[in-house]
Amino acid sequence: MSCNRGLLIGIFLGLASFHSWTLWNALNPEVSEKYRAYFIDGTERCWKTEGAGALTFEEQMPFGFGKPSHGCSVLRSGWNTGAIPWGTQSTHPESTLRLRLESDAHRQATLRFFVRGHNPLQLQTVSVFQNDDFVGEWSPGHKEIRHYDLSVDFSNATENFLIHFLYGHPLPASWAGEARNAKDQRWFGIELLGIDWINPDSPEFEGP
Amino acid sequence: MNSINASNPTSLWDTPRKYAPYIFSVWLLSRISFFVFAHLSNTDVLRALCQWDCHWFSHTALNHYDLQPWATSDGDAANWPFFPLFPLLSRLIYNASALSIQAAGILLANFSFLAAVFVSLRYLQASRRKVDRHLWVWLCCFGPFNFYFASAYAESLFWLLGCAAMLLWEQKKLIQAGLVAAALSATRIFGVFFAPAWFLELWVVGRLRRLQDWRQELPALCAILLAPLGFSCFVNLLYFRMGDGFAFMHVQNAFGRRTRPYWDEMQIRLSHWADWGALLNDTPMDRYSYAYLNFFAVLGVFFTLRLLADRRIFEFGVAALVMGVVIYSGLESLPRYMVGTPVFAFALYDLLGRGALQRWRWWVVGFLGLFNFWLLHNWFEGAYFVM
Repeated sequence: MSCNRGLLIGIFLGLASFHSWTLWNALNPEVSEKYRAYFIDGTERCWKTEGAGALTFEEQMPFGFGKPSHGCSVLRSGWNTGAIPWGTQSTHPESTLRLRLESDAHRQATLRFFVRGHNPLQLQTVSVFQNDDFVGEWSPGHKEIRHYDLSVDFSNATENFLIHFLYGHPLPASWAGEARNAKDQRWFGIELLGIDWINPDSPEFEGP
Repeated sequence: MNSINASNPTSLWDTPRKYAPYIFSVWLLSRISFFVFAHLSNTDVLRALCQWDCHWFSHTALNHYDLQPWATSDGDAANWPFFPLFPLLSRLIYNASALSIQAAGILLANFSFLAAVFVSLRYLQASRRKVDRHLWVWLCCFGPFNFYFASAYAESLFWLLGCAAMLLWEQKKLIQAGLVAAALSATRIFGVFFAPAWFLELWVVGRLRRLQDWRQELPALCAILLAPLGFSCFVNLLYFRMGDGFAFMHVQNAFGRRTRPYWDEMQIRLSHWADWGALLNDTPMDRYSYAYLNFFAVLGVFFTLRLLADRRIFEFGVAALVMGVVIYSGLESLPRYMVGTPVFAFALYDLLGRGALQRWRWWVVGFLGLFNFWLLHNWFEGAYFVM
């Protein structure tokens, strides 16, 4: 090696300075708060928050791969956001929805949940909480589609509601013989097909 | 005669030049066999070879680095983990030819791999006492997971640059070694590990114990600082383009690398050692086995320790860092990372050349070749476990 020592020292110091400057840049990112919260700090669990608009009176919110509400902005945790075309499955012993509702004049909404149960032992119960308040218990049938109504009250014109589901007897996919491989650690509770904001006074929704 | 003695090399290409027709023939045979295999499977070979990250590399080559994440159902994936040198060279071939970007990448990968076989053989001759060139060439061209070197993936370019850097270092052409390693660290993240591994080697052999030694080893230290230059340039590229120099790391979760807390995932993973049957599932996307990945983790640790036992300090350093990172990130895609880093292949080669295995080495190569075709079949079908 015929490089002289002075040149080598210059190269060494130049490279050391460049790497230090790079490290400084990398440790001081210039990104939005949203990016920082999701990608760097991990304090936000959903990136695509603009996926679904607010649900309004007499509108429907279907779930299924490719549909606007089928993302983490609504299906906050404990749901399968994969390629199921007809709805979403709960995958954990508890799961949470975040619904953004735009109030009508009554400041009240009646939401109808279309649910397909996974309840082969006929033991499944679903405790439902709105924010932190217990609002009801459902007993879905096995592989049957049923609907359950939930009334919520507004304090603002547009409001976010966290709906939390706690499953009494979640079943591992492996127990049900539906695990595709050992990585498939799903716990079956319910399958949620969609949510409608119904008009309870409409003859369409009157009981028998 | 299978063996040749190590010579004192003067040029990167010295000895293998006379083996060029042989190496080219075995390489060509392997590529034709892949083509025939695709044809027999009623598959378009270009589409079949270009799976998974091939599309990301092609996207990067055509569109530069994304300004915002956009892919996957959660919209949080981007092309930031894909280092720039391979897509850049693919783009150059694409611009200079009438090929599609996927075909340009596949062409680059295959010819990089052909060159890598030459250079790696030269490195073996420089670093081992006796080299069985037939064994090495057939192991390279028909060994398991060879499709990573046939698809538009950066692995083949990494092999070429990695072996060239190791050879130049072995030949005491330190600054050139550092410059090639700089290109290496712009190809895949593991290229950065050449710097600490070279430092470790200098330290272990006692060339950096005193301050005076540091002065004498200035060319080597410059080479060590040159090695991460490509990586540093990539970090700055990301920083000035989208604001986060470590975006390649921060975006990893979007690729499903970790779906549970680390220790929960490892606990589940390490409790499964017999779920091999899932590799035969009907649906390719359902083919996944913890036991398969655990087996490769054990094999990787074993190879790493073998390199240490053989006092191949640099190769051990690279292998240990690769294994450390892959274990930290949850073992996903481990076979790809092992196959894509030539030091593990050197460890396997060393193992086949000694003890009881030496007698059975061609049987082992034959078995690995058959294993490769089974893996290739899964690759063509888009099986999840070869991702």
